[in-house]
Amino acid sequence: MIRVLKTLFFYGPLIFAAGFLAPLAAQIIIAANWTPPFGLSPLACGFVMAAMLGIPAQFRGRWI
Amino acid sequence: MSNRDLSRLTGQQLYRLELDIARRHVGHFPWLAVVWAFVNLAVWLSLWPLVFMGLLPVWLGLIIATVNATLSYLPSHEAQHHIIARPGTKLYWLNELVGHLSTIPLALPYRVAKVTHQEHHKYTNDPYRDPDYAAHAKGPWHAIWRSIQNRQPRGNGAFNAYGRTLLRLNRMDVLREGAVYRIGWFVTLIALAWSGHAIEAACLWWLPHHLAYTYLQFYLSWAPHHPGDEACRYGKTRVFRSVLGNIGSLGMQYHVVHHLHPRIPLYRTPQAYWEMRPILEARGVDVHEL
Repeated sequence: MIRVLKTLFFYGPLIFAAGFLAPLAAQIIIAANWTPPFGLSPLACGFVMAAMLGIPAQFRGRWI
Repeated sequence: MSNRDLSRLTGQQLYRLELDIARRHVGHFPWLAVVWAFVNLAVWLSLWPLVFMGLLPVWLGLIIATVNATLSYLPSHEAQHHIIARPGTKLYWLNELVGHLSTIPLALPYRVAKVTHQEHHKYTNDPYRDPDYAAHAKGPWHAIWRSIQNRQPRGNGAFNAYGRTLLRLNRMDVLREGAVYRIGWFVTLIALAWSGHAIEAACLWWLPHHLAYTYLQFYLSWAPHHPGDEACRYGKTRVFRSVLGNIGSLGMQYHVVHHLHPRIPLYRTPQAYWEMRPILEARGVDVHEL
């Protein structure tokens, strides 16, 4: 159990970005009636934005 | 009692006077904390259906939820010190219920808060053993920045400091409970997000958690301990006047009384302070701000 918890916390930034920030960004895009570039769907755009935040956070150990 | 009278007293006599005052304030049932805990939680819970049904705009939900999350800590803090009821007494279940439930808006596991807070009292301002030491900062803006930095995934303070403290104490049971609680919070946020309620989850729980934490760390950890370079009984805390008053600073202007006598309920600390003030002054506490 400890190993599972440690793994989850270790990959926390990536999990949080994909699990929460991506759908959050997608729903903000839809609510703002904004059309994402390159024909991306709101969710795909959300994933791109979440990846731009989550991947550096995973390596640096901080979001800001 | 005038300061001139007190200057002739020995340390032991001063301590006895201080204790007499403290005893008058300990043992009163803190109705305010109990009512506060449940009303605050009920208001926060009511935000969810109100925002989901469109009866309350989400921006207003964010403001109210942030106030709820900020207010949620103090009733739990009373429970952490067994102020509501002592272990083994008839109402101890209420003490624990308040402790566990009140911090839900803040997503703070009660037992983690309790064990680490007791360490904070034991080792205040100790750079290695005080779990709140990372809140130390040069000034108010730096304190806000430190609070944000401390909560980063590999930050120095907040949950990471609590984790280190629990490991040092070998309290794996509490550490495990805290980890499961925190993962449960993230799973709930993620489930809400994927069911189409990401904005509501962000505004009613995730952002309030962070905004409230910053406010709480500023007023509960930084302001009453700044500059935090003393560990003696009368030097751990400072008496200060907050621009937001005693309510805005969550009662922390009189935090010195809490560290000296942690079982005095929050609502009685101002009165206890004014009664103890000459004694504190005789003890060398800088009381010029209040």
